[in-house]
Amino acid sequence: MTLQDRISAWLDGALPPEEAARLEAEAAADPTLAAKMQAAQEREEALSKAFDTLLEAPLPPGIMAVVSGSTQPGTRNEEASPTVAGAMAQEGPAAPAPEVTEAAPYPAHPGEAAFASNPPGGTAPRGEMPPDFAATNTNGRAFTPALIAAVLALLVVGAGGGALFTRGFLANEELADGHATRGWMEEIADYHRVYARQTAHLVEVPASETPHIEAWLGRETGVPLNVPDLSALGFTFQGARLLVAGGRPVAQLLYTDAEGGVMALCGLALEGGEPLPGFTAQSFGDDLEMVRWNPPGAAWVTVGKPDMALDAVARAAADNV
Amino acid sequence: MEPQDSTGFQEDLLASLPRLRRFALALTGHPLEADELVQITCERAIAKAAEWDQEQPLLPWLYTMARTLLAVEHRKAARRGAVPANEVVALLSHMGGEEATRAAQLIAPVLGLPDAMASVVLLVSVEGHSYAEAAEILGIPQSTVMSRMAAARAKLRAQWEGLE
Repeated sequence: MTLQDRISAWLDGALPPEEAARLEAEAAADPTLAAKMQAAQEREEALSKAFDTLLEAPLPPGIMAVVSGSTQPGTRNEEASPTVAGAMAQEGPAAPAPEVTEAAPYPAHPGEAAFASNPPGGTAPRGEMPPDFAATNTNGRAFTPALIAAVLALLVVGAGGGALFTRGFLANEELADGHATRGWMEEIADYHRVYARQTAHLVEVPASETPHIEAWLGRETGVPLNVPDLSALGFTFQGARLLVAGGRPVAQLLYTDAEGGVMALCGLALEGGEPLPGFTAQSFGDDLEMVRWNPPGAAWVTVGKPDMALDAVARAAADNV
Repeated sequence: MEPQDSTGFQEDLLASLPRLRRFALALTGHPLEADELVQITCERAIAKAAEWDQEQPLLPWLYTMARTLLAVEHRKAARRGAVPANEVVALLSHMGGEEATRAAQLIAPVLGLPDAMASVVLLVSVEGHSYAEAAEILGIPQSTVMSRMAAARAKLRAQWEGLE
């Protein structure tokens, strides 16, 4: 491998750990190499940012018509007929769908089913599509991702909002103001199920603004915080959100693993309680797990899928957060 | 896991559209062809919805489908060279002029890369897929993903240095 090949693989996290360490050691001793690697990293970031602007572009109504007019409830197992007529009418001729002899998209490899980025199948609550939704997309208006997000949010709130509120008051251990801790953890689980699906809009403030995140969330939650570097455990910091759970502001730091799976670190102020020793794990349904610890004046949880080694994450985070 | 209903599939497909469209742009290199490809991919996905393994995320399934459909159409053979940056700017009409121009200056050279490098760059560099995942989506060996990434970076570096 040439040096450029090594840097390329290093940027992609594809070098074996010992080779990555060797390259980093070489860079530590060689300012020219270090500058080269840093420049390469900066180009990567600039490129990602540029490509991400495409995600905000309005979608042509023709495409939206195909999707949102596509199915009737309950026809999932039948051959749904795409409603392209409306799309054709506004968009002009479009290519006919070719016959694919063997599309076999994404063949199943049970052993390495590694695309872990939040299975869209879904743990998030489902709602009915608003009845007039299909009609709105044939009026020629462009659909912006923001509009899509709004529609999805409506669907989610419709089905899950009630549960979110009632669960908030399940009795267990109580916060100083009477909210049950079981409640805030349930609420964080609900948030996680929703946000882990928003791959295009995962965070409110991106990782590039880490100093701002630390100052802002520390101020809002009353819990001084550092964004822990969890890269040794395979998690990359993506950015943060401010949530409200149990009536309290909650700092949510979002990380992704190599497969795009989302893991969150959530912290909130918890006055009056004795700091609890150790780390406790708790399952939320089949799909989520949390590991919690209580430093003085605060409570922290790591939230993610049960296979994410959350206990190790919690211990690493507790030392650095 | 609860059985998936059609509304769930529709929602997931809807939420996948911006990324699918961006991937189609990388595959085809051209905005209009990308939108045609997204459209036929959505039609195909809806027709084949029952074949989607719900244990798997939808996007890679859609990506693979788009790639297969494009190969069937043999459009790859007709691929042109570099896409003019102004065609990319037209896609970014939702942004301010200067910002859109700047983004387009970075995107256009990627779309103009030879040998289907653009889709590799998008999957690995922009979306953070591993080489194994990109290889599976694109139906190529992992070693090819790796060499295309290195070659793409070498070409882009030369072009960007020319820009600065």
